[in-house]
Amino acid sequence: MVWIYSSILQTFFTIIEFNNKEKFLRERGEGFMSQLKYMLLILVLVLLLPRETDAATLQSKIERAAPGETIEISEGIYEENLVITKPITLKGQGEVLIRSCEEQPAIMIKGQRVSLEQIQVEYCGEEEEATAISISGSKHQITNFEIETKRYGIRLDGASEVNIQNGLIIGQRKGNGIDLWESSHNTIQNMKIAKVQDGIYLEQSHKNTLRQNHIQGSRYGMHLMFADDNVLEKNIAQYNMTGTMLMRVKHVQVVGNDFSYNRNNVNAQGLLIYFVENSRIAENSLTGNRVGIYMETSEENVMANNKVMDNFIGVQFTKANNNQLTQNTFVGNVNEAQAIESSNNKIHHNYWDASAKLDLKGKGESIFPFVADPYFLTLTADVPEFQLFFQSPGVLLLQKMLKSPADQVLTDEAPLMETTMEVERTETSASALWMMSVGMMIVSTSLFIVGRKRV
Amino acid sequence: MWNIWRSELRMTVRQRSYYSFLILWVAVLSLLFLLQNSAPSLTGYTNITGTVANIALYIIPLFMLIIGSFSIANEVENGQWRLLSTYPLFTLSYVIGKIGGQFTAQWIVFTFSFGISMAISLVIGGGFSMKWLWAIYLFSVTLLFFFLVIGVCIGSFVKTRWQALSISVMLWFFLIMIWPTALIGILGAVPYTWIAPLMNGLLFLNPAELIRVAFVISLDAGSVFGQAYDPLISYLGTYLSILIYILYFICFLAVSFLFSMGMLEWRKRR
Repeated sequence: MVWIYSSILQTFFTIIEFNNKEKFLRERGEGFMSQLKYMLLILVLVLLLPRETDAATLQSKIERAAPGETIEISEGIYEENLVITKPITLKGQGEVLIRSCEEQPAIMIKGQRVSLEQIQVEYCGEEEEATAISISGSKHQITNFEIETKRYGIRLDGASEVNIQNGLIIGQRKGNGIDLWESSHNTIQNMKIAKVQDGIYLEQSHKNTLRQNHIQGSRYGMHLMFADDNVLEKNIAQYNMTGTMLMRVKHVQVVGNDFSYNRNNVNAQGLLIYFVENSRIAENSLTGNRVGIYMETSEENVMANNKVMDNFIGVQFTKANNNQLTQNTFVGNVNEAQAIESSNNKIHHNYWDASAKLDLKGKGESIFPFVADPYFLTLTADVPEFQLFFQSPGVLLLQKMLKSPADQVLTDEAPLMETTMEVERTETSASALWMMSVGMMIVSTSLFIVGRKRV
Repeated sequence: MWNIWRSELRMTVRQRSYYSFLILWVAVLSLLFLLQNSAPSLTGYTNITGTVANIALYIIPLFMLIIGSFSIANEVENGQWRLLSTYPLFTLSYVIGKIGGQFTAQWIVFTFSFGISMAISLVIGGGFSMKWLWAIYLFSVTLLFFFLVIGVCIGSFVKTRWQALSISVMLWFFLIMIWPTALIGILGAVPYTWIAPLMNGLLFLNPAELIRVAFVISLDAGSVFGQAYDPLISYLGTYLSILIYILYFICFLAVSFLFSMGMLEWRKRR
């Protein structure tokens, strides 16, 4: 590039020189030859220069590449907006950064079998729908990339069989990390996403697989709307407003995920399920959320083998019927379970640390059913302000006196005696605790002795 | 003031009943620690933590109200108060000395029991989180102090120990046991829009509730109180909250001192 600019500058000076010279020569009647030279030079410039600059842009390289070709991009910063429509591979060598603040995406991918590898994108388009990478078509591969964006990270519109993996997306909470619209059969895995609106958002997108993604500091980790038959596997969504939200979906598999510490918002929950049918939620870990699993107006779902630990409310059902809750472990939740207007749910063989346990038959299950009273929930549903009485001693008394009708309580007929999985504990080292204990004894004893002394 | 303080402290720690408190606290705290130990999880505010806090809320205020009110009622009954009235003693120093001495004595026995109970649980083989222990300890000591002050206020106007006992239990029952029931009943009668501000205001009227809420917030669990308290919780969660607590503390002390002083002065003049 520098060479081109310097050559342009040089020619410019030459022209001025020529002009002056020509004036001088014309006066002497020797103008013709120089005039010809002058015109030739301009011609050369016009023919050569634009082609030189054009060849340097990535876009021109893309346009010249034959289908199936691999373009290796050398290290550097490229301020361009790329459009890729044919099956080629773009591979960064070292630090390749594509920077754009335009309205159109920094990289637009169409057609089939486009591969992007080792590329960083810095995108600062501010329009509502602006996105760093936009993808349509099918069978694309996006791997080992980094995106910093003001709005969206990647948007898939009508894309299928796209594979997005090993990437990092950091946003400014103004757009989704990866946004799928009418896009099916895609795989998104090993992504790290932070500070976006929704980590991965699926709408009208079916049969996609989201695996081993890590999302934090966002509004929702994963958000599915009208998206059926998707698989959410081994993802981690922590410190978001809500770990994952399923809304109006069917046949979704949520397996082996970790939705934890989503509690800093008064509406926070680990997993929110709303209008969901025939889905399976299994082997997930829900720790330290405000509500572990919140389910509303959903039917025929199975929740099994989940670890629901240290949440303020373990599971909460509202108008949820015919679901199955079994083999889950509930420990350390402030309120284990609550249900309002929910019926025909099959709740059995869960471990509840708050339940009274006695195994008479030696089958590993307690003879006492576990009962979760919704009194407090119904009380606060009408007047949310009364929630300040959460676990207040007086409310526990009130709850005991005013037992809710039997059809309103959530009951586990056969709670388990043992947890269904290992549960870890965090402890301070014993020596520090001993020091605290001994310190307290010494201080109080010495004050006691001083106090007893006669004046 | 310091003389009253010291004599109150000396008198209390020399009483035989004082040692029964040692047994009581050790028994209760050891049980609570064992309970916490049996919990599979230790991080933050959990079901067990709630139970532990509730047991502390049941037992500490009741005893402190009784001790506080008795410490003055006793002197009134056995005539020591009349004797003291003949001395040129400022009533405020008497009240502060009483509260200070009594609190020091109760703090000593509680802290000692806390240390012993911790040692017992550690020997048995328990594990704790330091933050949790400090939260429980500070929570209990704050309860101890506030209800001692209220107890002294009760003591300043009752005539006999029997009266002191019945008023203490009544107040305990009202502030701890039926506070939510009473509030739910009363607030059912006011317009809906008044509920939120009234709840916020009434929170500061009952020290037990305020201390409990502060305790829950200190364990990062403020969001259990729901959306309606988001501004309050996020405000009380910041460092500015210390200012509020100090201000509350000062106001509470000022009101109690004024009340008990007035009552004692009135009694002197009769």
